[in-house]
Amino acid sequence: MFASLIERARRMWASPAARKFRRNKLAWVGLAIVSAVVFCAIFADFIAPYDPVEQVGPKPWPNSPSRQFLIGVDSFGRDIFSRIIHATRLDLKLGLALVGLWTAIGVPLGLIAGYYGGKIDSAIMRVVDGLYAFPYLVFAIAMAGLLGFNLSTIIIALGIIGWPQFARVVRGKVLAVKTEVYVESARAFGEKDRTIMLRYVFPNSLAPLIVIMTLSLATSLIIIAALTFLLPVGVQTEAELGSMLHEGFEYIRYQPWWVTSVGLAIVIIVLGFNFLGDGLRDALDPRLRY
Amino acid sequence: MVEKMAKPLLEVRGLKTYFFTDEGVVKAVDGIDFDISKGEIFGLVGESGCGKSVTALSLLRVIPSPPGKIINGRVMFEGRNLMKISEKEMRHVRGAKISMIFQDPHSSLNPVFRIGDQIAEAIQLHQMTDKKEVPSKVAEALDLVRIPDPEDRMYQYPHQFSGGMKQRAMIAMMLACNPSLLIADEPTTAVDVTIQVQILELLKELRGKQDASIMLITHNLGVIAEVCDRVAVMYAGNIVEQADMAGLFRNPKHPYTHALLGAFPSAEKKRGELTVIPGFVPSLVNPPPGCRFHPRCPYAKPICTEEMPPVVKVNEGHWVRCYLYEGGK
Repeated sequence: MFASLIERARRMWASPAARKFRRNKLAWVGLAIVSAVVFCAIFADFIAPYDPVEQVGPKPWPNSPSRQFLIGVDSFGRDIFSRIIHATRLDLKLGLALVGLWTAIGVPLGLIAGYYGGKIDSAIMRVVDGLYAFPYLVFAIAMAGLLGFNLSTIIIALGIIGWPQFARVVRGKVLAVKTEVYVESARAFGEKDRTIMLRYVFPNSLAPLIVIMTLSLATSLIIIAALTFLLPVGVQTEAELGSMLHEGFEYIRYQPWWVTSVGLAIVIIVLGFNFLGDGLRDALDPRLRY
Repeated sequence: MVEKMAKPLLEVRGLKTYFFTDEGVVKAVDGIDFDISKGEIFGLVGESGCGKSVTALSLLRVIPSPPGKIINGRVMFEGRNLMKISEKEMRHVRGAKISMIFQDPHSSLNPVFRIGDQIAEAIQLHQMTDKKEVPSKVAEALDLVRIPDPEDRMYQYPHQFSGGMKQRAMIAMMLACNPSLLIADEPTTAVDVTIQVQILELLKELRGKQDASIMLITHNLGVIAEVCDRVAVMYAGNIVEQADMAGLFRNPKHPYTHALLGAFPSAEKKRGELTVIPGFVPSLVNPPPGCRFHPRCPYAKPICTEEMPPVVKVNEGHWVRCYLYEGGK
C-alpha cells in the first residue's frame, strides 16, 4: 500500500505535466507563497506573538512599530502583525468556502449542460449568461442588504453570482471529451448515462477545473476583501484582511505602515495563488503545451 | 433476394439512418439489407464516408442524436427486433450480446482508469460475477488476446500500452462478456502492418474459440481477403454487391466492385498501373438519382440515371444491384 503510494508519487513527479510545472520558476514562487500562507493559517496560534483581539499594545493607540510590535498596534491596541497572521486563516476559510460553493453549483450544471446538450444546455447556459450580466460587488451588497450584513450572507450572495465561470469551463471541456472514442465505446458496451458522465466524462474534464479553482481562490480572496473593506460591519472583532484595511485606511496619513502592510499581505497572497494557478494552467492545458 | 439459409444470427432489412443537418438531410445509410450467420466473419467494405460506420452504430442504436436518426428498418437479432425494444433492454444487448471495437485504439480506452479496471467494469456490467473472481477473469481475458504478463499489465494505464496492445486490450474487453456478435470498425487502420496481421489472426482465432460472429468494417480489401467469409460492398449508403469472399474476388459484378479491385495493388498484378475511379463520392445530402454510382460508372445506361437498379441474383449467395445484369445475364 505504502510502496504503491510512493510509486504513484514518483510517477506523478516524472509526468510531462509535472516536468513542465517544475521548470516554471514563477510556479515555484507561487507554490512557496501558498504553502507559507497555508502554514500560517493552520498554525496561526503558534506563530502569532500575541492574541489577535487582546489589547496588548502601549498607548497611545494606534502606535508605531517597535521591536515588540513589529507593525505597530491598531486603534484598539491590538498587535497588527498577529492580526494579519490570524486573518489569513479566516480569509482562506472564506475563500475556500466560496470556491467550494462555486464548484458545487457550477460543475454539476456544466457537466449536465455539456453532456445532454440541446434544450437542457440552452436553459442552463442562458441562466449563466444572465448571471454574467450582474456585477459581483453590486449584487453581493444588494443581497447582503436584504439578508443582513454578515460574513455568511456575503459568501452566499457571492456563491450565487460567481458559479457561471465554473459551469462554462466544465461545459466546454465536456463538449470536447464527450466526442472521444472511449465515451462512444462506453455507450456501445451498455453503460448508463450517469456512469458515463461520472466515470468517463468527469474525470477527463478535471484539468481545467483544477486550474480554475486555484485561480478563482485568488479572485475570491480579492472580492471578499473588497466587500469587507467596503462593508466592515459584517466583521466584528475577528481579524479579517478587508476590514483591517478599512480600519487602517483612516490612519493612512499618520500610521501608513498599518494599511500598507495589510494591503501588502493581500497582494502577496493573491499573487501566490495566481502564480500557482498560472503554473498549473501552463502544465495542464494542452493548448499551451509545446 | 438473400438466399434462405439456416436462420441467421443477425438479419438487417431496409435499414435507413439519416442525419438532419443544416445543409440538409444526409442519407448516410439508405435502405440496406444483409444477414450475418453464426460463426461467420462478415466484411463490409467501401470508401470513406459511404456509411459503413453509421451502419454499425445503427445496429447498436448509438447514433449521435440529434442530428442522427434511424428512420426505418428491422434488425432481427436472437428473435427480437433491436429497433423496437426499449432503451433499457438495448443496454443489455450492447456489450453483452453485441460489442464493438473502434478504429483508434489510442483514444478508445478511458485514459484515467487502469486497463484491468476497465475490463473488470465491462465484466461486472453484464455478468454477475463474484467480486473475488473478477481479477482472475480480467487476467484470463488479457491472456486470451496474448498480452504478456497479464497479472502485471492489468494494473497499468492505457498510456503505458502500445497501440497494438491497446487494440488487443480493447478486444479483450469486448470479448470478456462472450458476445455473439463482435463489430470491428476498422480495427487495423490505426496500427502498423505487423500488428494488423496479429489482430486479424486474433480475430480469426477468436471466432473459432468463442463461436462469435464478427462484422468487420474496413476500406482495405486486403483485410477482407485475409479473414472474411462473406463480403458486402457499400457505396454511398447502399449495398451494391454481396457475395462470398471467393466469389467477390474472382467474379466481381458491380462496376464499382471492379473499380475497387482495380484500384488495389496485388502481388499478381505485377505490371500495369492501378486504376483510379474517376470523380468523387457523391454528396449524401443530394445523392444522384437512380443508381448512385452512375456519374462515375463507365457502363452507365440512360435508365441508370432514373431508377435505382433492382437486385439481381448472380449465384447462390451472390447478388448485385446493377442494370447490366438484368435479365439473367
